[in-house]
Amino acid sequence: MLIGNALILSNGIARLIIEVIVIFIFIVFFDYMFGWLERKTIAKAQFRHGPTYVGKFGLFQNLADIIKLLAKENVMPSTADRLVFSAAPPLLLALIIFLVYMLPFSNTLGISISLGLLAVFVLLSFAPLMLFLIGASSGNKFSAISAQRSVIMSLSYEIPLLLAVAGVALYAGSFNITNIVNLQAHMPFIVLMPIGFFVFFVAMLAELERPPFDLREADSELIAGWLVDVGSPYYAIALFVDYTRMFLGSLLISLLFLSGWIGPYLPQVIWLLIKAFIVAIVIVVIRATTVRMRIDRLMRFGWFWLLPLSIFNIILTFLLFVR
Amino acid sequence: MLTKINVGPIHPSTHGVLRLVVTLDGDTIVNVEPHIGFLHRGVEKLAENRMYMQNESYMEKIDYAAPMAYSDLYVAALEEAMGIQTKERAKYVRLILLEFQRIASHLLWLGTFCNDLGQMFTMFMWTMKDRDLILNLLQDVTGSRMFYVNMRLGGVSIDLPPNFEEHAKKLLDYLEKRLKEYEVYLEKNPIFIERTKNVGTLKRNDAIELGVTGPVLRASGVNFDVRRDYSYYVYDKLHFIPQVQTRGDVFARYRVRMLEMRESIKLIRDALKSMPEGDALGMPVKLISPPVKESEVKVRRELPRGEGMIFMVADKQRPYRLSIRAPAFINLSSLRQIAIGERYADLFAILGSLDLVMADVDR
Amino acid sequence: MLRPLIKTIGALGKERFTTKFPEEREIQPDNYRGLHRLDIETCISCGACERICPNKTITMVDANTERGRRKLPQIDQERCLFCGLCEEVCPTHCLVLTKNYELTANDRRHFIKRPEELR
Repeated sequence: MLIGNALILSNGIARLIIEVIVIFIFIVFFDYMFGWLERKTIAKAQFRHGPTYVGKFGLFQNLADIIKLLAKENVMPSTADRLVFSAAPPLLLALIIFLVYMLPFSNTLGISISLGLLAVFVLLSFAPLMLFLIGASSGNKFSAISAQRSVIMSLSYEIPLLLAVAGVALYAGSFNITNIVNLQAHMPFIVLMPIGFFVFFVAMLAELERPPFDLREADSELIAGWLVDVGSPYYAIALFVDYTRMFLGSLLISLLFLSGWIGPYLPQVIWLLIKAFIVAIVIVVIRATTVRMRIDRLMRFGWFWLLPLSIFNIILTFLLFVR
Repeated sequence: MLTKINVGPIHPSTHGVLRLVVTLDGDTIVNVEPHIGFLHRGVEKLAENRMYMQNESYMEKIDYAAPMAYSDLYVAALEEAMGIQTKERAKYVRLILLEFQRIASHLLWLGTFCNDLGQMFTMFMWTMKDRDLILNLLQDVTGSRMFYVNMRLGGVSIDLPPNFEEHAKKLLDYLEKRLKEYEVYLEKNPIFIERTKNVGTLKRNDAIELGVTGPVLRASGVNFDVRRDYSYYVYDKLHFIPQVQTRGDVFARYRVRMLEMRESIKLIRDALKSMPEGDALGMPVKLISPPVKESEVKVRRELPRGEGMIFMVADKQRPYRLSIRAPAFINLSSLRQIAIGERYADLFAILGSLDLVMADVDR
Repeated sequence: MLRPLIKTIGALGKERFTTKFPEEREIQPDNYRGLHRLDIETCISCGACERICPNKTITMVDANTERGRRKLPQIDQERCLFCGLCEEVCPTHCLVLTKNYELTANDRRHFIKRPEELR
């Protein structure tokens, strides 16, 4: 309530600063809670307790981990390209956080750009480039292999992702995310476009590099891929990147398909966060269940299944709704 | 262009310490060279300086996934050397405990196999829970969860407690239910099927020539099982059937072990029903061992990993030479034949399906 | 693909199997082979436990008892295999293995327990 009043009453620079701070608090909150929730959920599905000692229910476990990671010495391999290797992870983190800022959080919070959807996905396609730079610059065979694998995977799954988004934009008639959410006031898009939702969900899992698509950090094959050689603070940045990408992905899924912030009684931002958490828990359950995919099966799945499905989805949407 | 990758001794795929030098051409494996010996403790030499019954504890530590099987193999060799017959009830008791040990070993294998494929420890935790229940049952019988030391000359050290039968039956029902769930969990997962079918095929003739035994051999279509062909204890009375699959790939080895677990459950049920009353206790341990009648003995048993054999030259109070055929060592030597021509990502699925325990390989 | 996911969600509702050690501990059966306990007054100093131990864990050392100065077993708990052979050969059943299994120390020398400490 305080935040809402502050927003309504201020405008200009003051409002911008308040929005920046508020959304940053949301990002940090989601990252922290998602880390805790993921460990507890996976533990519960495996008949065990998760973290329980540090704080009540282990809530301070992530804090303890971050403090430990930041307090260690940074070690860099001698064969690595120092400039790129030091600069690329923070740049990636900055990119992802910037992308979160481009999404609207409610009718009043967050910016609302007329080409918002397009802008988000154009910028999102920079992420594979950064990941490749990180992997290739560490001078290590395992990182090089994992970098090339992740580039292949991102290439194969970008196109179905964009086509699914195009289906949504086609129906809504605009690229403005605020408009798209407000159009879902009566029926969320998941009901109207189930195939589009499926394609978007799977392609988003591949972009987020979450199981079953976690080739990059395949820790029983490549011994944690690019994370083999990173120093301790960079590992903390890697964790942040992973969780913030999850935040971005679940926000996108809930904004585009699950009618974003629309819901009764509670403030709009709370609804959006609740839906993002539910999507995140579903992704965690998928992580606990599946076996890792092999790279050729992954490409076959992307090119021969998802791409035709997404094209079919666009044609169907066009015929049924737009004409 | 050939690259050499060192899959080093420290290895997240929980097999123990194994170093593989893999030569790759792009993504295809051209050569695999295992370097072993990191866990060699010289068990065979240690055994030469200990008296007979002191060795039993060392034999168990060769295979830490199924210790009772090795202990039984050793005591059987001793019994043959000293000319001691196993008591009738003791045969049944040993069979029941060994088959429980086999189920526990296969459950451990299932968990680590799914870990290798990329599962995030879920299957591992579930199978560990079931294995833990079996170990609790064995703890009630023998007093220890892992290194039992309960085999004695002519029988066992402590007989089954009075409520063993009902606990065992409850556990067997639970295990049957869980095995069905595991099969659904894995076989209805198309990614698992894709990663295990037609991967790492071992043809029938190659399997026989390389000398592999156990589930790896039976998955390639060879119908050989020590429990039926060189039968011991009461396996012939209980109508034991070896489980055979013909395709020889990773999926077939997985199927053989799941079916073997089912078969073990059936064997335990039959043994519990037909077990005679009587005395199952063997000779207690004394400072002087019984006299040795035969000085060269050879005994074979079906361990969960394959066929284990002991060739012993027996001296008066201690073995003069103890030679152990460890099944995992021979199975590892077939890795090169299987893995050449496969993709690199499949190497770990193949390694997982061979069911290696490095302590068994290195002894 | 859907049935495995349903099974995982089903497992979320079942109860946990692990215990929060050291607040909750499991109970061992009576024949559990844990750490040793020696009854000093009944020991007849035969040395059978020293001879049967595979790992040469037990050594007979001089110790004071109510019956005078005798040789009693001293156990290096770090080397012990917990095989139970010493318990089995002891003729007077004065050396038994208890249910206690917790074994920690800051210094390796603290693991060598003299006969008086084996309670």
